Amino acid sequence: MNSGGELAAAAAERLFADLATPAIARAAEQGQWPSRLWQAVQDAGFGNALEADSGVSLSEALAIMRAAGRHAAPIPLAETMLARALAAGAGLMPPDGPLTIGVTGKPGSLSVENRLLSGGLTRVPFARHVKAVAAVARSGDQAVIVLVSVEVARLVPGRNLAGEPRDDLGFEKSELLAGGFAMAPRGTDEAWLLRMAALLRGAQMVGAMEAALAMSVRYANERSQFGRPIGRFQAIQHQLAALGGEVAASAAMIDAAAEAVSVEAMHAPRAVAAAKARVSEAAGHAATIAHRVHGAIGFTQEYAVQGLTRRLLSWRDEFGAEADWQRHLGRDILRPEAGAVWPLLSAP
Amino acid sequence: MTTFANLTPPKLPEGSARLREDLRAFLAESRRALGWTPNSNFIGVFSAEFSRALGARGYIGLTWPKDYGGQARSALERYIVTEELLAAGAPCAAHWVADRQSGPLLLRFGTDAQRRDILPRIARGECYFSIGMSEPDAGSDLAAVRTRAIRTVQGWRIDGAKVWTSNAHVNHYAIVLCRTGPAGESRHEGLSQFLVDLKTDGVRVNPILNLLGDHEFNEMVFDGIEIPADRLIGNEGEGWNQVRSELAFERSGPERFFGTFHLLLATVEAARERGDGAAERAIGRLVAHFLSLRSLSLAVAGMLQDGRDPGVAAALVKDLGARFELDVLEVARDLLPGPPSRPEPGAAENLDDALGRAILQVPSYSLRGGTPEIMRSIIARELGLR
Repeated sequence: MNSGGELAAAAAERLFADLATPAIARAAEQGQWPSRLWQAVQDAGFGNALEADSGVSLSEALAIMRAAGRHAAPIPLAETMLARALAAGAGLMPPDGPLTIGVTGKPGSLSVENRLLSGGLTRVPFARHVKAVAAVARSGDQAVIVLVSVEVARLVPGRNLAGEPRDDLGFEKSELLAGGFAMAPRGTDEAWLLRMAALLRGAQMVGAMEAALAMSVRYANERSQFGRPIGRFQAIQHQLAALGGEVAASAAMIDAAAEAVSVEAMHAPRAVAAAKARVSEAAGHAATIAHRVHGAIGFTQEYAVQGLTRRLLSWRDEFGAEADWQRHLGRDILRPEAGAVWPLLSAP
Repeated sequence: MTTFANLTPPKLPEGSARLREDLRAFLAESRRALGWTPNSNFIGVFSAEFSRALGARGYIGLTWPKDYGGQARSALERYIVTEELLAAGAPCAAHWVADRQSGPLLLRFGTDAQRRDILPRIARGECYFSIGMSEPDAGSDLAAVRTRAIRTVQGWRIDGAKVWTSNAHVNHYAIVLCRTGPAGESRHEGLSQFLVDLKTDGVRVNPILNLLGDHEFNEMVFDGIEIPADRLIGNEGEGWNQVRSELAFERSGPERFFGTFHLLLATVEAARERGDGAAERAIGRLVAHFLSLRSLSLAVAGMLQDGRDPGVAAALVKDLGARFELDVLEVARDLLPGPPSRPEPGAAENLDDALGRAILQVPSYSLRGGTPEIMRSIIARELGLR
């Protein structure tokens, strides 16, 4: 992380530590929108972080997401960042407030004809709470950016394992928002949106993992059994060391992918695929170890570690699970025309 | 704690791409000229010819000051050289240890006379080192060493034995950790390191055959050998701190996850033929892990470059790297023709024996430089557990 990233991270860390408390997360799971938290995030400008003229670098934006992940903030921040970036890049003006994205990964799910949107989106984060959905759709063969209100959609509510809203949306010749249609800029398509969503969610997961690690270490040093803190047992130490390795590998992968995307390196898509594959795999290990170390107290609603582990166990499957990204990466490397492997692995 | 979350791979310096290209061209040419074939074990194939050619191009001692025969280049450039040598499977056993840890140790703790005597010769690829740490009763518990050095009128007398000493039968020197005083409560006091010429009277080197039947490591016996006073490295009694610094160099490089790299390449080719979804996923997973290890290892090189202690970060890479090497084996067992056969002792690695060779070699990869259990204890201490 560069020094600017550390600055943004410090500001975000303070904000989320103050306002994204376990009580807020619990209320959010009961259906309450965390308006104070959202207002503070909006006032800090975090939702605009990925717009080209925001003055915030990608690595700073990811540092903000990591802080949000550390505190299990129950808000669509990654989604709003991406929706605003998508809109701004296409010259659209989305409404104020929280937004979300419709991530399809490939053409075919959403089409526009006469500025009317048809098709379906599954598991859209926080859809019921937002002002609009930004997505890449197709008008004929042409990729287009659309903004659409959730009010015109058929909404089937759903939740992920952490109780965060993940709603299915159906559109049938639904009207777009006024001024909610533009040609997609070069390079912006369904695959781009999926990659960026995976990168932001990945950063959020790194945050949740580092918090789960810190909480587990603290617990191991406090909890006594057999007359000493369990953290003195080598079996526990080695579990936590393994968790430390997963956190380190995940953080380094997100940083490497962010750098590749920032400089628009040729290998950026591969770097993002590898990052989400690695981080999603790590998330399962992290949750398992955190629960093992915490014992039965970690299996309760009232103890905070579950706010992190349930998110990790959800987020690992969002915007591509490790299996998806591993297959994607494998296909890319195994293409006959991909050539010798070492030049691919040693890029840049 | 920050160690874990902030191992950011640094940007590679200007000229890195050029360095890589030059090195690749040199390696291709050297392979034709010397007729070597790729091998996965960086300490396995000894070729003084290759090491001298590499040294003549300035690729050994890359980061050392020019006064001592080095090139004054960055740790990140050294990282590039190291990974290219590993990826090519070049025969590096002769100079590897000297370049990686013995030279840097002398640079940090040695006298100016020691540096002027030794470092330029290492950099030319002419002077090779063994590691004198482990003993029959001191493996992971290095502070238990019993080899003793006692002051004499002319210098020091050393009695004892070291084991698992790679290539002591062909190398010129060993850096030997000895007890020179009482261990103290920490057991870390009273240790010192010595530069021992392996031609010294009373040094006996006995071969120990490894799991493959190859002669790579040895027992070194010091039968009251007499060495001059100026062979003490650093300060008497400071051996523990020095050896920790040497171990950080030993653990810090990409060789900690390249042990099954050539098997991975063979497995990728097999998967290209197989072309099913399971093979794609298995290869994709290995590639993601490889890239994560490479990012972490670059971060370690960045720490070396910034003069920070890479000890914990290197332990992380080594622990994850050892697991990755095993993961490669499992995928290779599925995708390559099998079952594997034992390679002929002393034979060069080839595509047909790669799997069997790797299976028999892999136990040593996780052990040398410290076991995964020791790595995890180092990591746990950094986490605040003790």
